[in-house]
Amino acid sequence: MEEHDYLAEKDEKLVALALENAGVYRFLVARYEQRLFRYIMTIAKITRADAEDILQTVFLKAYQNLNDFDPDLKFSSWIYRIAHNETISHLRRFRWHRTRNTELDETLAETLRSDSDIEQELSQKYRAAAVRLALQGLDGKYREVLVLRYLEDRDYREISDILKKPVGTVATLLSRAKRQLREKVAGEKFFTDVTHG
Amino acid sequence: MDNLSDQIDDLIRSRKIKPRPRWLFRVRNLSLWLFFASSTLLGAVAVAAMIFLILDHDWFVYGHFHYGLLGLILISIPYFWIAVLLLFTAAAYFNLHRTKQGYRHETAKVVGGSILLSVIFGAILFFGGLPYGLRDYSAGLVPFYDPLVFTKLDIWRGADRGLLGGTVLEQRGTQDLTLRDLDGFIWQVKLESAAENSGTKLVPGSQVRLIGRRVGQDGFAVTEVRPWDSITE
Repeated sequence: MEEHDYLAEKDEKLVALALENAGVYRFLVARYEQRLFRYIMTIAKITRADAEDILQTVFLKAYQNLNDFDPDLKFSSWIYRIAHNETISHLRRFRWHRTRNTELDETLAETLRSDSDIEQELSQKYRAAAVRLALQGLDGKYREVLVLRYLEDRDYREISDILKKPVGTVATLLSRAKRQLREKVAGEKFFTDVTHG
Repeated sequence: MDNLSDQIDDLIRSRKIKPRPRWLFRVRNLSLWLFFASSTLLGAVAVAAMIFLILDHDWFVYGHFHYGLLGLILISIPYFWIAVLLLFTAAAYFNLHRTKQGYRHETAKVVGGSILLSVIFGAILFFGGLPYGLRDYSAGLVPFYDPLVFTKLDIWRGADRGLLGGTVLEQRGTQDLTLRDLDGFIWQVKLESAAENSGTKLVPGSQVRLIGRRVGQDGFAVTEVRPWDSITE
């Protein structure tokens, strides 16, 4: 089969092919490396080199555990889960707090602007700046679920599969995350200064 | 991140990395389900013990306790077995959560379902006769079991509150008995007229429950006599 054919294959098919021929695994790596790199950088403030190390470990672990992939899940959910776990392990190992990556925060803030609940409550003029600042003070679990929902564009079931939490819990987390974000935005000193200054 | 695909490909080849075999994951998943089932079954043993303790209790003597029925209920709640049930329910939850897609189930449903299964299997075990001897087994297994569980035996260790249980050693006439209580102490028992005609066998070797009042160091005046019976007998 030509390389072109591999690129057209679905993830699940590529997994089956990679189990027969290790060389096929590179197409899965190519398909996900950018997305996972961005995801890892979003949930952890680490250097690019560290993120690349984590990413390498993610792909090696995924390959070793390829037979554990459950076809009832999306492959993307499965590999995002590995990336999530590996990033959290890395943070725990080095006792680093999850903080933000400014560049990506701006992307997330922009994405969140389009969410209708928040849109109704924030002023057009200062919304993005306020959201960006508020995100910095958000709990890790809330930030994580917002990232998956709005930056990675995952639906509830996929978030459930990535974080290994029931869908109901994901919905609750998202709801609380949005509420906390609203509160942070509302209480943001910068936001107040700007709007009243 | 120069050509990560090539890097990964090279690492897989140079380190000779192979995907772990499928059976390994199947065994792991099956083990988690077995641990879940075992935890639920062990929870069922706790439920069977609780049913036994509740049904075998002599609740009618609540008047002899401080705060009456409420007092008796509070000291009789099988805290030990409740703790055991909760422990194994937690174990069942954590094992199920780690199975493939087990995390998709809501915590409340898993915990509730596990307890419900423990109650169903506990009832089956109870009616199957498991609690017979369970107390002695538990006492042997857990050194601090006795102080943690207030059983029917403990009710009849209360001569000071007017409740005495034991085995008749000797009968003298229609009113006087010698009795060995549940802790081996010897009592001189005198039946008052109301207790004389209870119809309960008072021959040596009979196990009885006596209601009355303590008289002196080793005397007990009885107003009511009941045979010692248990739901397991």
